[in-house]
Amino acid sequence: MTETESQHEWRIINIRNGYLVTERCVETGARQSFFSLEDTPPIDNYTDGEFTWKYLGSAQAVKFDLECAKHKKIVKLDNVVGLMLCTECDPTCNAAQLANIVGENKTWVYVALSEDPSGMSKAVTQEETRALTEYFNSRIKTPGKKILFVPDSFIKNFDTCKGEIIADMGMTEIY
Amino acid sequence: MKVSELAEKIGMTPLNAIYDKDIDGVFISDMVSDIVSGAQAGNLLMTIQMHKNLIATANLVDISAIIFVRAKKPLDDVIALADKAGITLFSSDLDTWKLAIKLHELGIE
Repeated sequence: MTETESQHEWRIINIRNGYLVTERCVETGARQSFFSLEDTPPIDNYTDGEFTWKYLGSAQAVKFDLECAKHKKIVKLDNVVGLMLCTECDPTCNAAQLANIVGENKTWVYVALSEDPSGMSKAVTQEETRALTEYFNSRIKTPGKKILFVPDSFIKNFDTCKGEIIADMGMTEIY
Repeated sequence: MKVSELAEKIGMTPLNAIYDKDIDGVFISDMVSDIVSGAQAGNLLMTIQMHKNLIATANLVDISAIIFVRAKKPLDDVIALADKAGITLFSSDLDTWKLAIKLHELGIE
């Protein structure tokens, strides 16, 4: 039996606590997010090529990798900056359509978020979504329940998306 | 211990329906980033966090039930998502420390 045919025994490794920082380009309207390990989230505006990035907000978040204890294989989740539950807010969105179909089988669709939701660079890989799916499913005790991770290319419009991002929103802000 | 037994023994009324899962340990945290990397499936979660993404997180790691301490009560949309996820929600007047002692006395570790 090959490694891909046998079942992995994933566990979380390399837990890093930091900030999920979101920026918007004031010129193009593009949006990007990145994970920062700095003591405080970077808030400076800066220019990078044709983009002028402006800080939108940040949230405390966690990043980790997955290791298969059986095969000693490590999947580094370098392209994943956050996790999000699809709430099926837009019936024309691919993630919502998938969630609607698989939801009948007690399967929940979660989205692995990349730095660049347009998928132009650093897109979440199939290996990353597969490892996330296998890891979280291996922990479930509720009978029949399943988790399915998809890349953020499934999301039709991030500006209107109402998915629930797993990050500690507002915990670094003072109101 | 089942969620229904916990409700009865500790005298708490659920904020939604009882989904009678097995409780396997307790996790205490107010940060979803901590819960996703630290909680175990079947854990009973004690928290003051009431954001909707708490339910998204609890569902991902398969939390059995959630107790909001210090009489915190989440909004209706949070309760609705918990119902969809089959996660029982409780609200306790006790603070985290006193409730943790009570759970320990009930044999939940």
